[in-house]
Amino acid sequence: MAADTTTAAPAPLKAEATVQGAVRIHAALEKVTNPARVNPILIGAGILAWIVFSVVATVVPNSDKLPMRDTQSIRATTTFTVIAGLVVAAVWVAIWALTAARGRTGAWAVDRVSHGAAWLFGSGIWVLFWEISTAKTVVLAPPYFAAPQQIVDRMWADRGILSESLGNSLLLLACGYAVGLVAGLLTGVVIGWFQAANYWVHPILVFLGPVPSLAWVPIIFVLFPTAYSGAVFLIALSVWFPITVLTRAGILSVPRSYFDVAQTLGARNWFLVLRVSLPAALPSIFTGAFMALGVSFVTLTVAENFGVNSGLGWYLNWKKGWGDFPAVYAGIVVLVIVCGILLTLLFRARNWVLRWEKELTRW
Amino acid sequence: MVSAGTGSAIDIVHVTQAFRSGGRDLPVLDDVSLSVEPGEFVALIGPSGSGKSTLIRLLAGLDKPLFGTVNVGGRRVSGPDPSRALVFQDPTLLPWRTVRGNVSIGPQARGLSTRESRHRVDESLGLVGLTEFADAWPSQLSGGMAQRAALARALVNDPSVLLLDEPLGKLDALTRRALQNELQRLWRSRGFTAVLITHDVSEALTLADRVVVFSPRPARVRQVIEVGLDRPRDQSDGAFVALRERILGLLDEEATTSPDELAPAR
Repeated sequence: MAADTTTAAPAPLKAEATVQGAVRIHAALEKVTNPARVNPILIGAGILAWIVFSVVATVVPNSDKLPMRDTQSIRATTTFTVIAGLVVAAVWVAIWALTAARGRTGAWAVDRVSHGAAWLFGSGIWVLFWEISTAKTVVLAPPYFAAPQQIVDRMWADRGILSESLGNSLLLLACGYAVGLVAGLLTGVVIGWFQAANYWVHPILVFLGPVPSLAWVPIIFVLFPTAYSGAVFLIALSVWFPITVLTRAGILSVPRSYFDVAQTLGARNWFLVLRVSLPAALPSIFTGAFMALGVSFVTLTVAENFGVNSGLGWYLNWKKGWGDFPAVYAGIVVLVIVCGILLTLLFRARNWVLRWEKELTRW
Repeated sequence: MVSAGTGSAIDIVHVTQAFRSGGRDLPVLDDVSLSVEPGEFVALIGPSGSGKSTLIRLLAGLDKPLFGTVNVGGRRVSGPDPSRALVFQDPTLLPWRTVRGNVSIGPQARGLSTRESRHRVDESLGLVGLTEFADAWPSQLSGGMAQRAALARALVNDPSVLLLDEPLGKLDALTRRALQNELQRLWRSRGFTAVLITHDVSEALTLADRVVVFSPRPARVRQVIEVGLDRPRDQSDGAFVALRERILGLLDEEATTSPDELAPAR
């Protein structure tokens, strides 16, 4: 065992005993491994942009070409908008100040500021442009364009119906996504595993999969007993397609040697399907799940306009019918935020489930 | 340590195997017969692509021969079985399972609960010196450690035959030496029958009771050489060197007279 170095536990690094010494090595590593730098000009400009936005929103008079209704709407929420702008600026000032702190907090703040400064500046310039081009100058004229305050106003005014719509949409989405996910996994595994099933199902998949969900609407609402079940099916169908395709692809690309190994260890078919194929296909399945989530949002807004008279998609269509574009934008903002949160959650889940994929410290 | 299993006898009787590749019939094994005593350590050596891996897959039960039979422990091999463990050149650890999870595949596949198999898994990890790394992911392991994990995984079922398809082929010289000693120790203490494919003549002579030299494809048994040296073997020993020269001579002769090497099949 003397010549064997592979079983030895990793010895703690003894930098004190080196020629350069621990301090110099630490300083050199600091330069090499920590490229995160705070750019004071960029972060300062970002904070300034948001303050300027707040000041412009409250001090510069609104354009007199705005219709009365819009002016009222803007006035009603200007105070809130100004405070929101100042809060953004204040939060970043606080984080910037924390970069001076030692230890974890300081490192966290440096990371935030170095990573977020450009976006802070970009978004500050964007809201400033938005505010000036709509409320202050009407270069982008109503009713098609709306000031930030108008959107805030609609969100507040419709908070009851928006939250109810959001709840209904999430429920419908969850039902459709769950059904589509389970069905997609089952189909993908079966056609990935059984040649005969693949022979029949794969051509159907290739031809019917890309058909847009809108095209199914007439048939589905004839075939399904209730509009709600039809809507669930429509979403499930749009989820099913990418999940099936990528589960199948994942299972077909499992190295044969995994099966050889498992078989010589006594594995039977069930073990090979559930404990070898499926986990090996997970990276591919997650790609399918991401695509499915995106498609399901689109399908949701379609499905809600046929028979299901609630939900964000329905709200958008209803407000569009009235020509109330600020409200449409308010609905879109809610939709975008929810979509973003769900995608982030899926990302987190993926990173946890596939944590074995990451290159960790090598021994 | 649990009681060492006793090795099974292996009987390969007139086995011929062929594949069809690119529309061409490709004979790989040509009427190969070979008997291995229970608990014997046999090394298979021959030019690359000569069908040694094919033979070991037949022994594992992963493929079926076109002609002839393969018997292990007096019974005809009809499929894979946990009593015949296989270790590949690549560790082929399942990357989503930790080292412990990989070693647990055997007991789990045979329906044992985690609690029942825990002791066996721990013991197996201990045998190859990986106890400390039980919770590491395969992507974190060095080549030598990954191959140890693969070895532990193969040994957890307490096999009567251990099939080694060039398991040390990709390791550096130092790790290779260490693992050769390890293999020898495990073989002695566990008593399984071992079949080792290798390209390293010294490795074959260090470990095996007999060395089987194969001809180029379609492979035939060209010569079976009794090593007959006391263990542990000294590589600078005169008899050892003489045997190595003799085997290398046989392989050189084959390499220069092989028509297949000049026109490799696609």
